[in-house]
Amino acid sequence: MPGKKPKLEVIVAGLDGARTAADLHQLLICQSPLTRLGPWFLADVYYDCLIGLGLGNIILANVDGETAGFITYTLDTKTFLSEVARRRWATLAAVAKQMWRKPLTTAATVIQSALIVLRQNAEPGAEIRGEFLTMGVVDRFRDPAFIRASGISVAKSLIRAAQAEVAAGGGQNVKLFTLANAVGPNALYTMMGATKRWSGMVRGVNANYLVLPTTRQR
Amino acid sequence: MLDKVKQVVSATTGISLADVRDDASAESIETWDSATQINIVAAVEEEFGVRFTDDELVAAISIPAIIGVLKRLSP
Repeated sequence: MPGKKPKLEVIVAGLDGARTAADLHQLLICQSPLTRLGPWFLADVYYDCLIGLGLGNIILANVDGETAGFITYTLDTKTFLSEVARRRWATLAAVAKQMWRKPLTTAATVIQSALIVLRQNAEPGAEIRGEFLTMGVVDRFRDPAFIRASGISVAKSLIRAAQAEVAAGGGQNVKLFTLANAVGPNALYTMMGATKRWSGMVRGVNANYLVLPTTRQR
Repeated sequence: MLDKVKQVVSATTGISLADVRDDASAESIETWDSATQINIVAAVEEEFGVRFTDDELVAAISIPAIIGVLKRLSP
């Protein structure tokens, strides 16, 4: 990559980033149950509530103005669903109306997702308030050839930015779940200082439960 | 063993060999991230004729850690 080095910009996107995050979620995290609900649910319900209620945020990474990746986090997993129900009942009513017209499997996925959020309160580590919810990097920008040539790791930059945001919100640690057999993500979070607390069935899949300090201990 | 691992890390991360310290890690080299890690381990496996487990791949995120795994795996 001769000539000018690409420029990385990491921004806390707020509500303006909800649509972009929904699109990237749909594109990059195809195994997520939420993805099966479609872009309308991700943008108009999930990310709109997450950010609109001030429970979390979206950070976008741009390389030379092109969207390269995203990460989302919440400062309070425990109250997410109850706050949505309390303050966005009209949104939930709209979801219910949408579900009425969709196949039973879609409605089941919504219910399953809601139960998953509720069940987290009983999981070990529920005392940790912050959580990284979703993260993805566009293929081209996680290609080792790009990273080598540009000197940019979009993934590391996104994680550092999210750590800083959670730290600014008073969180000393964040929790996150990875697929147990996903060696890339597990290696990445280990590099950033995460430790694995346990492995087991979480949300219907074999997962690792990781805890990541928001400031690096040396 | 150390020199060969350093060469692999240099070639994979794009850092000049002279700048790869004996204790280099994913923390000290920005371009050593998850995709790079998979390539580093694949190159080390080929170079030394060994096979890392998934747990070793996740944990071997520094040159000393890679050397540690290699010493365990080498006959």
